[in-house]
Amino acid sequence: MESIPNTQFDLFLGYTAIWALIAGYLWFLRREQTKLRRELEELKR
Amino acid sequence: MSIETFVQHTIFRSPWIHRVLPAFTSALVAFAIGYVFMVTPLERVMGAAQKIFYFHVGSALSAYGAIALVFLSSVMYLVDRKPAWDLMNEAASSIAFLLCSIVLVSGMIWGHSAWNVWFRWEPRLATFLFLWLIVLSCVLLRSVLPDDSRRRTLGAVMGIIAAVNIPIVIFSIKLLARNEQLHPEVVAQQGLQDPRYVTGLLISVAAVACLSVWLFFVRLGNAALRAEVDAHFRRRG
Repeated sequence: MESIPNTQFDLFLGYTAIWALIAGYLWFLRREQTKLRRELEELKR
Repeated sequence: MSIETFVQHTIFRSPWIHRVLPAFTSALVAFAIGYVFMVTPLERVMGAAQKIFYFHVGSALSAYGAIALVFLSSVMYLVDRKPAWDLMNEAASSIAFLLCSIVLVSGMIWGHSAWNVWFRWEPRLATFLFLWLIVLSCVLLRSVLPDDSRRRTLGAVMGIIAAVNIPIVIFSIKLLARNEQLHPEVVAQQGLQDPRYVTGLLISVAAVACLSVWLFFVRLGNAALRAEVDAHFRRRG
């Protein structure tokens, strides 16, 4: 038997997924930037 | 001035990119979410989950824009072999991958609500999945191969292959009759009759576009930093 989708929950899931991907990516970029800056400073010393 | 120094000066020190763009983007995204949830009417057939549509379409259009930039930088790199084009290619591929992932995930969730299936092997969905895989390989290629001209050339070639897929994705919807596939042709079939749907869509498209531009600059800055670190290592031998 097929279940009826819960549109409210799918809306919540959809928006959570979209913003989690964006926030996660931004966090990854910031972390990478900090690491690279530190590495560059050490190399310049 | 090397590209690394140029990016350091323009991206990391520009208040427009560093302060104004993130602030403007955050405000626009908040406004878009508010508009979608508080002003746009509830769609009668699909219900609440239809509100995924605004950011799903916005992400798809921005993904096409990012892949267009990948195409431009790939062609330019193959023509004049300047590392600046490769950095742009790297940043644009990365953003394109993020946006394609958002389109795929949000589309599957919306599809589950609207059609009661997460995925179906029909032209639009299958071609988009194929595009996502190509963009994924563009990103993976850079992390696997060492930084040399071979990696740059392969990245450019993959970028062109990804861009060639865009018209296929767009026109794939015409391959089957409308009653044989689930993915709708909203704009072409003159959907969005209520002007509030159109306004919501335009605001969301603008918000995701601004967000993509901001992320692109952050990613470009990181790519330039990485290039500078590699250059230091090479100089040291």
